[in-house]
Amino acid sequence: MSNFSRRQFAKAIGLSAAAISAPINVIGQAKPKVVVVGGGAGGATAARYTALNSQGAVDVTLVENSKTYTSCFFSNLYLGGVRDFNSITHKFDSLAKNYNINVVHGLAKTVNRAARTIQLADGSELDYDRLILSPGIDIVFDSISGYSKEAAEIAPHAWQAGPQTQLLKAKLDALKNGDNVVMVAPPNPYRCPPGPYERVSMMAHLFKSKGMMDSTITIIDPKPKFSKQGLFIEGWQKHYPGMIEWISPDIHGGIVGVDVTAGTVETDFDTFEGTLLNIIPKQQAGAIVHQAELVNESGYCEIDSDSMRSVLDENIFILGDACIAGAMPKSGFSANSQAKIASMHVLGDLINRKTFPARYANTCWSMIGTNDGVKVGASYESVDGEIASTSTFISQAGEDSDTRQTTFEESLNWYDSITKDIFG
Amino acid sequence: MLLRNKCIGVAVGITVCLSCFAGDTSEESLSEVRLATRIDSILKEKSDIFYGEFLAAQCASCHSKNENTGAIPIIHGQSKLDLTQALLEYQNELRTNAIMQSIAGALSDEDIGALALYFSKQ
Ligand SMILES: Cc1cc2nc3c(=O)[nH]c(=O)nc-3n(C[C@H](O)[C@H](O)[C@H](O)COP(=O)(O)OP(=O)(O)OC[C@H]3O[C@@H](n4cnc5c(N)ncnc54)[C@H](O)[C@@H]3O)c2cc1C
Ligand code: HEC
Repeated sequence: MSNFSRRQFAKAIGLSAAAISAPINVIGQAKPKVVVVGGGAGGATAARYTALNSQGAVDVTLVENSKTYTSCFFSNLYLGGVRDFNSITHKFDSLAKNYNINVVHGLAKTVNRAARTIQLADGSELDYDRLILSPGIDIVFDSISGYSKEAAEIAPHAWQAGPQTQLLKAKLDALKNGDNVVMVAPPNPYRCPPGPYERVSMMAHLFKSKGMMDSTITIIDPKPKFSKQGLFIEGWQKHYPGMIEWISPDIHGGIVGVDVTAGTVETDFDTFEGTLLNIIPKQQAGAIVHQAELVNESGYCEIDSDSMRSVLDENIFILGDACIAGAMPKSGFSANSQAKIASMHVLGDLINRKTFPARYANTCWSMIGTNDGVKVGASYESVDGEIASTSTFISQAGEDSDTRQTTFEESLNWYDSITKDIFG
Repeated sequence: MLLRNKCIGVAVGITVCLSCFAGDTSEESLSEVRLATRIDSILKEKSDIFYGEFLAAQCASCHSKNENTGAIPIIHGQSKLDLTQALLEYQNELRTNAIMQSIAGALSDEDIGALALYFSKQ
């Protein structure tokens, strides 16, 4: 179908007529171009839905620095010995083959917003009519005195999945009974609010499965409370009595710094020693949105809650961990959900595809122990310019083991479904 | 499963139930009658399949079209009646799953009709 007849067709079946900017899709011109930066939970979903729903009417290019994507979601299960590394690593083949997406492996360095182009590290350039950015997070290494990129080779953060996750796994596997782990948890906001506490559960699960009952894990937390706290504490007492200690700021008084070679974390109250340190620092949106000057003072990007469009540039949409999404937590599920709304508006702009008032969803499952899963989630809408929850749920303390097992099984099923929804 | 069969019975046997509505009115039969009436009215309304497709994208994070076996059932290809009824049962806590109770709780009758139409065509 030619561009012209496609527009008439759209009109004939009653799709919305007015695009936000001047119509780009005019007879004789090339197809409109959508460029997506970041092939993770948000970006790959956005590329896939845009390609799928445009039915060939737009060109979609996905720029992703890595050849494969290892998900942070379920990476804690890998640490606990419940999943293998391959099962959390995904390829981009299907997006290229089955959806005709131009997958470019390279690092996007700069965005020229005036010219609507992006520049890659290899010197190449791509132009866009609409740009979708889902770069995830960067670790703010110097937010903890004594920590750095180099220090992360000794005391991994493993908060970006891949080599860091494998490094932490190798170090965990090398521990002996009686060795101990000290984790420094991140301050808000960070990706995956229950993530540090699921990780600690999985570390304890690993120790328990290897009979290392004298090993302990200490969490030094800059936050006075955390996600699903009651459920985790209950679970730790049940599965790992005496193995996990959580230390809140009113006890440690503040984190002064770390010394990764000595294996110590210094706080106002005391110095904690660990055979292994897992340091998870403060985070901020990926570098590309900083370069493009799309962030506010928080280090993240403000978006329009109806569309995921940047409040600073109508040609750019920002998803996932990099954006400020009101009541939605930074999760893979959220990023996947937001991507569908952004994609709808991109196609609304470019080919007049019909748009609807935004609906978002999220669920975060956490595995506490064998067949013991808990969940928290919500549905969201755009209310008075903010993404607000309209309906929420959370697992209850003291639930029977059947319920917990079903919840765990849901999470396994979810992982298969969402990775299919992301990568095709 | 039991509940579902019982409710289909209610949906088709609406007049029978209306008589129990008039006479013996236990809480349960009252809510089942309301449910049957709502199923009826949702199925009667004309739904927008494009709206259904839009809403259904948010279901795809959990409900895959193929090869799903396990705790999350395949809903693609279910009949409009089954889908409408299941969603209303979650909404009214006649089915217990916390996720689906919450998700269905955020859906209007128009949403449910559109989703049921869309999934029934997959
Ligand atoms: C331990 C842990 C457990 C988690 N568990 C869960 C869970 O159970 N459920 C859940 O929903 N979420 C979970 N999360 C959160 C989830 O991983 C993130 O929220 C999600 O990945 C965010 O998606 P995103 O698209 O914003 O970023 P990512 O998924 O991180 O994708 C960003 C991609 O962009 C690429 N990139 C960045 N900048 C550039 C550039 N300039 N050029 C080219 N490519 C670039 C990166 O290589 C990366 O592949 C967990 C996170 C952690 C750390
Ligand atoms: C967070 C994951 C998740 C999302 C998102 C989700 N579902 Fe579900 N759904 C489930 C689970 C888990 C079950 C099984 C619940 C049970 O055992 O009763 C289920 C069951 C159902 C059923 C009952 C199917 C049957 O055969 O019994 C229907 C219908 C349904 N969902 C519709 C939807 C619709 C429509 C949406 C989108 C608006 C949706 N779901 C989104 C997890 C999800």
